[in-house]
Amino acid sequence: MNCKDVARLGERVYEAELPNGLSIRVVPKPGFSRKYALIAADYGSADTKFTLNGKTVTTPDGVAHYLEHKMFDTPKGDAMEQFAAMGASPNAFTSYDMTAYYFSCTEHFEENLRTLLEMVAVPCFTEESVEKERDIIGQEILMYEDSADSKLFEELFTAMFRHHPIRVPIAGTVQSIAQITAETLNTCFDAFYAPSNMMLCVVGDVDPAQVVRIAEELLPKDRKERPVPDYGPAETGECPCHESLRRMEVSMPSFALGFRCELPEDGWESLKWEIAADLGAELLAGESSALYQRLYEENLIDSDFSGGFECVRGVGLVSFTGDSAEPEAVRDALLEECERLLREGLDEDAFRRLKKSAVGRRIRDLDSFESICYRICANFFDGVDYFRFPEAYAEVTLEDVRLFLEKTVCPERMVLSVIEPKERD
Amino acid sequence: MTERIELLPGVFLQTMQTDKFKTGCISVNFLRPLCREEASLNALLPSVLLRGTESRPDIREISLLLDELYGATVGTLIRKKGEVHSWGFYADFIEDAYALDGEAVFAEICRFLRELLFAPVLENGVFLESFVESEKVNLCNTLAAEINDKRSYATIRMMRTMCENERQAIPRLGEREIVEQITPQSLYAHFEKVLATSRVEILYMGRKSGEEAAKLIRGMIEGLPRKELTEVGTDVIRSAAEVRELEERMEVTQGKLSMGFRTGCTCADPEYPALLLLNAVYGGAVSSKLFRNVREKLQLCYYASSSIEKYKGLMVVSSGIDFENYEVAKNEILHQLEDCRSGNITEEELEKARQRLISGFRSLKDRPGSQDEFYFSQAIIGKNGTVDSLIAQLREVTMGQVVAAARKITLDTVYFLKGVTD
Repeated sequence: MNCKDVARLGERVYEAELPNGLSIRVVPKPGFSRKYALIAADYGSADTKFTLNGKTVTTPDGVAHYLEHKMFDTPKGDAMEQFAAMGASPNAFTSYDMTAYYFSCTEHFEENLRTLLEMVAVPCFTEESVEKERDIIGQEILMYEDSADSKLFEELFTAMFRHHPIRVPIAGTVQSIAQITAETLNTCFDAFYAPSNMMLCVVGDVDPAQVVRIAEELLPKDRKERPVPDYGPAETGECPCHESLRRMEVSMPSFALGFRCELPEDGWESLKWEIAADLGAELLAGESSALYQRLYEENLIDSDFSGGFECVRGVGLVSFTGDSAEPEAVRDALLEECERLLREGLDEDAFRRLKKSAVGRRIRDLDSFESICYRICANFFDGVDYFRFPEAYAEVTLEDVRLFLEKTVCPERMVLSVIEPKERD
Repeated sequence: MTERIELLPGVFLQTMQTDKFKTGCISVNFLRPLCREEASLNALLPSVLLRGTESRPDIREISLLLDELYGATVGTLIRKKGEVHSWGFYADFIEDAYALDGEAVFAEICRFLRELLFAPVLENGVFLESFVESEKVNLCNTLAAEINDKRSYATIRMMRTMCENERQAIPRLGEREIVEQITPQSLYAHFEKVLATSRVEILYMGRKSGEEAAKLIRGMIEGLPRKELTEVGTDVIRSAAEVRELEERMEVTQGKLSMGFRTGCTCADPEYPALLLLNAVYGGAVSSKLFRNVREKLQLCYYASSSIEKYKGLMVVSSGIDFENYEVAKNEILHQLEDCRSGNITEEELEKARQRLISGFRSLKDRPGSQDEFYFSQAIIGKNGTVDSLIAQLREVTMGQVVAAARKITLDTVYFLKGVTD
C-alpha cells in the first residue's frame, strides 16, 4: 500500500490496487468520529451499448439506475436494514457516468463496510423482487417529470446532441423500464460490477490496512476484462437545435444556456480544459464580472444565476442557469460580452484572482467527506489523481481560457432551454 | 469546547473552537418576533445591505473582495424558528492557516460584516432606492417560486392551513402584498429599530480561540445601539381540535400528500428526546415504518417520510403518490402511527432508530458549520444543552417514553395536490 502526503493540502492518502483490479483510496481524518465509505462503478446511464469479450450488447434505458435500486437486495435481506442496525446512513446515486453506493457512520465501521461490499459483490435479486421495484422507480420518474430543474437539462441535452445517450434521462422512462428484467440486470452487473471497473474510497479515522483486508476478503478474486462502451459517432458541427421551450407549473421562466465544447482525449489535459472552462465562465459571467453586475442591476438575473462546465462520456458543455423574465436578453448579452472580451483582451489580474478563489474553494471542499470520495472516483475514472488539482490550476494559463471561450461561446454551439410558466386562465 | 458570552447588552457570542477544518464559519442573527408587519421587512433587509457598503458600493466590488479572500462566502440568512424570526448574515471562509499569502482572512470577514451593518450606502439618509426596488423584485420572485418544487409547496400549503390563525403561518420570507409597499424610508426606519431592539446571537466555529474570536467580533459590533429589547417566543397548541382536509389541483403528473400533526411537545420539553426517537422509528429515516411499509411493502411511492418542527410542536408527513392512491396512502400512514401508539414497535426498530439518531448528532461535529443550527436553537429556547448532553438523553429514552410521545400526537390537517383531471 502506497502512502502519499499532500502537505500543501494538509492531507494524506493511502492507495492500493488489489489483484482483482479494485482500486482503493483511504484518506485518514484523525480526530473525527464520522466515517464515510463510497464504492463506485464506472457505469452510468449513458453506458447502454457496450462490447465485452467480443459480444455487443444493447440494453434498455434506465438499467444502471434500476440496478442501483436492486443491489440493496443481499443474501442477508435488505442492506438498508443491515446498515440501520449498525447506526449507518446508507444511500446510492446513479449519474450519466457513475453508479455509487455509500454510507456514513460513527460506530461499527467494519460491519458497515462489510455490508457495503457484500452488497456490490454478488447480485441477489429475483424476477419477483425486480418486478416489485418497478412501481417505486415509476414514481421516482414521475417525480422528476414535475421537476423544472430536471426538465430544463433534459431538454438542453436533447437539443444539443444528435444521438449521445446523455439525451436520455438517467432513470429512463416508464416505457423503457418496462422492458427491464432480472436477466438484463444480471448481464449489466456482470459487465460493469467487476472489481477492475470499480473504486472504493474511505474517509475517516480508520485503519487503511483493514479496509484493504476486508475488500480482499469480500470481493471476487478474479480480474476481469472491462467492457468497452459505445457512444456512437462523435458529436460535431452545429447543434441540431438552438432553442427549446416547455411550459410547466412554475412561477417564472427559468433557463439553461449551454455551449457544447470539444474535449481533449487525455485525462490530465481534460482536467485542465475543465478548469479553463470554469474560469472562462467566471471571467465572462461570474459574480465578480461586469456582465453579472449589469444583468443583476437590470433585474435580468438574480443571485441564483451561475455558470460551469460538465462533461460526460466524451461530450462536454459549459452552461449558465438561472431565472429570468427575459432569458433571450441574457443570452444575447452573454454572446455580446464574450465577443467584447475576446476583442479587448482578457484581464490578467481578474484571471489571477479567480484562480485564487477557485483553489481556495477546492481546498475548503476537503472538509466534505462526500466531496473527497466523489471527486477521487470521478477523476480516477478519467485517469487523473484528484489531489493534483493545485498543480492543474497552476498550469492553466490565461491563453487556455481565451482559447476555450473563442472556440466554445458561439451561436453554432449554443442552445437555450427555457421552462415557462403555464398560461393561466 | 463551547462557550457563550455577552459582548454587549443583549448581544451574545457562542464560539466553538476546533482545528479540524479548513473552513471557518460565522453567523450573525438579529432575533425578532414573527409577525406580518415585520416579516417582509426582515426578509428584505439583509439583501439590500448586501448590495453595497461605503467602501464596497456595489455587488461587483463585494465579489472582488470575496475572490481575494480565497472564495469566501457571505450570504443573507433569514430563519424562522417557530414564531421567532431572525435576519442576518452567515459567512464561511478559508482558515488563515491555508491562506497561501498569509492574509488574516477572518479579520477581513469581520471588518466586512461590520461595514454591512454600520456603513450601508445611503442617499438622503435612507437606503438607495435602486437597491431597494431591485431587491423587492427578487424577493417577490422568490416568494412566487414556492410553487416550483411541488413537494415543499404541498407542505407549505398544509402548514398555512393548519396554523391559519397562528403566527406560525406567516411565511419565512414575508408576503408579496407587504413587500410591494416597502419604501427606502420604511425599510431604513425598520433597520434602525431592529439594530437597537433585537437580541443578537452570533455563532463562530473555527480555529480561533474563544478569546481571539471574541476580540475580533467585539470589534465588529462595537457601537451597536442598544435599547430595550423586543421579546421573542412561540405559542404552542398542544393538540388538534378537528381534522381538516384540503385538496388543490394543478397540472402535475404525481400527487403530493402532506399531513400535519400536533405533537404536544417542543424542544424545550423534557420529553423532546423521546419525540425525536419516535419520529425516527415512524418516518424519519429509510429504516423507519413509513419507508418500509408505504414504499417497500405497498410500493405506493418513492418517498414517504416524517419530520419534526421542534419549536412549535408539529410533525409533517409527506409522500408523492398516484392520484388514485390518496385514500390508501393516507390510511397506511395513519395506520403506522396507530401502531406506534399501541406500542407495536420492536426493540430492534427502537435500537436502530436510536443508533442512527446518535450517529447523526455525533457527525454534527465533523462538518463545518453544522453545529450552528443546533446552538442557535439552544439560544432561542434559552437552554444551554450541548450536542453531547442530547446524545446522553437519547441513550436513556425508554420504549414506554417513545410510545407515550406517539400517544400525544394528533392529526390536524391533510393536504393533497392532484392533477387537473382524475
